[in-house]
Amino acid sequence: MLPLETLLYIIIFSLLSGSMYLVYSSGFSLLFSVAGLPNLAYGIFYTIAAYGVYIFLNSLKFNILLSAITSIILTIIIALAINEVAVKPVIKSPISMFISTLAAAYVIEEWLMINYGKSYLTLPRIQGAFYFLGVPIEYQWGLTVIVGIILMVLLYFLIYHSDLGLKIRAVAESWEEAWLIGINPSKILMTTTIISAIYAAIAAITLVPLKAISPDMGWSLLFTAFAIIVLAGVGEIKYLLASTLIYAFSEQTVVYIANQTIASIVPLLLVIIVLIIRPAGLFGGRSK
Amino acid sequence: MRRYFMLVFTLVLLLLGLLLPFIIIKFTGKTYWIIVFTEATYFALFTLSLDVFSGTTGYLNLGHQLFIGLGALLSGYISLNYGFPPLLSVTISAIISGIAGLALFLPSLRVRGFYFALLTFFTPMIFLYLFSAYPLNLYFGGEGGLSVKHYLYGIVPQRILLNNIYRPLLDYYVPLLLLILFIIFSYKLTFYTSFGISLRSIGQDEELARASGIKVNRIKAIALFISAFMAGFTGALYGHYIGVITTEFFSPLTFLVPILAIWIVGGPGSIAGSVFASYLLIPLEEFLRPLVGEYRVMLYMAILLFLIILKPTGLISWLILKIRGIKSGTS
Repeated sequence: MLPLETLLYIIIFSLLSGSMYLVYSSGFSLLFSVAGLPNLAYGIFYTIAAYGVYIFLNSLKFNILLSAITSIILTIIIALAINEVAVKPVIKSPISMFISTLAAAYVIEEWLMINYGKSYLTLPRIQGAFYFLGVPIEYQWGLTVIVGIILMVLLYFLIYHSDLGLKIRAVAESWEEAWLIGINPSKILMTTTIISAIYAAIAAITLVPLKAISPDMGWSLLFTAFAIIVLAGVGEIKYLLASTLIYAFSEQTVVYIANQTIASIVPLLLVIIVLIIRPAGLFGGRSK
Repeated sequence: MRRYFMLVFTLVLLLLGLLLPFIIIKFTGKTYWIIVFTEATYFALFTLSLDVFSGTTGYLNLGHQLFIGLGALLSGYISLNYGFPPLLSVTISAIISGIAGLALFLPSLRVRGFYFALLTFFTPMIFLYLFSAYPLNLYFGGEGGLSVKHYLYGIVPQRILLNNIYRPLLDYYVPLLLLILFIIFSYKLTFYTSFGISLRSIGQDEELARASGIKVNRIKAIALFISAFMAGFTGALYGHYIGVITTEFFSPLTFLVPILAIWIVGGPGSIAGSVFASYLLIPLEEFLRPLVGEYRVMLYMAILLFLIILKPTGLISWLILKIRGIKSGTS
């Protein structure tokens, strides 16, 4: 058995990385899990927000708050453009949406790669650390935990306890029937995209200081988000937190037993196992 | 009508393909464009191998480069470490790619094709990371890649492989012959066997196919095995032809992006369309290289985005239908 102290470390690290995944995946689950849009460009929203902050901060010399706000606005604008070009025309066919959003994402990623990809970029992070149960934790990680919980709670209330959430779920159920009962589906689609873009931008501002900026950084987190959603069951926002923690714990255990490289295969194995054993997700089917 | 069309198409392709190098050498005096058309032939093969599964069943495979990369890397590893002749290692690694395809397909037995697309899209990214990081990078060359011998090494005398006229010609004709064989094979398989009929009926309506007694899962699995095997075989051949096999084979930008563009331009499910499109797009890209330069991927993606929105059935298959419709009086 694992010694108690090691177990404590694994639990704390999985809480930290879990909060990181939670920050990232809450926006994607709004798009993918609730609204039923397999929008692969979510990864690029995140990347754009990170580059936005970097450019506003370093080239235009804005202060940190102003550059965060402008980069959120920039992300919303680009997300809406992608929504118009790559999502709306193929709204009926999820398979086509994969290809079109993928294409849109790669157009932007290549542009970033050509213009900014060659150098090593970082964002400033909050300096300092505090001790939690004897484990030193940086303030930036502490911020990640707080932001993760706030985003999660907000998403929960948005989906289950607001008029807008009801409309989003209605449109996901059926585009025509939602229209028949007086909801404007394309307006709801736009609103969903705007909210997910804001989520992606906040995720980028919170998480990117922890690592370097690169044009392709959105993809690996996107897969993690996908794995977490499959684990929870598509459409099951309530269980997102639990599945994130299960995911992070199993990943950190593999990191401890083997190494980081081997651990990268964890999401793949988890997804395959869950899809074979319980296609509705670990918690799926209980609420319905 | 279809039978004559495919017969004429294959014959014309064979004839043009055989004559093309002589035309090129006569007009340009260089072998440069032969190399470009060799590239186009390989991409036609890759696209056809994608089409065997995705074009017929309608399950979108967004990770086709996984099979290409696995075939190439494993073949490189086997031929370098066990001293097998390249053609043998190519076959072995193609079989392993096929099995990998089956493993990846397992979860899709229970859920919709939607998950299959996402799963196949993300798996090569994990393999890219896995193969280029410690400890696998020690075996598969890491960043520098594996330097491998030509696939005909040991079969064809060395002086031909070193000759700067015969070598490009040989490199050009081998995949061309493979392409002709594969067109005939996949055409016969899809349209003239009960297997192919079952396969296409799954693409039309999976539940109905299941209800009429077709063993849907088995058919899908076999088709994916064929698709992955073909991709692995061609990928390994391509790797031995290029000479350096890197983990970049797994990167979506190396293969997936051009293959998807070719597939969509040609029209999913259209054999002739895929072949046409790759002989159109790859030389076009080469032709535009001075203009687009490093914006190559953006060009492909813009084409793809444009087409998927305007004409999701594919440009060339639409043209073919038009032409055939006019000729035969029906459509």
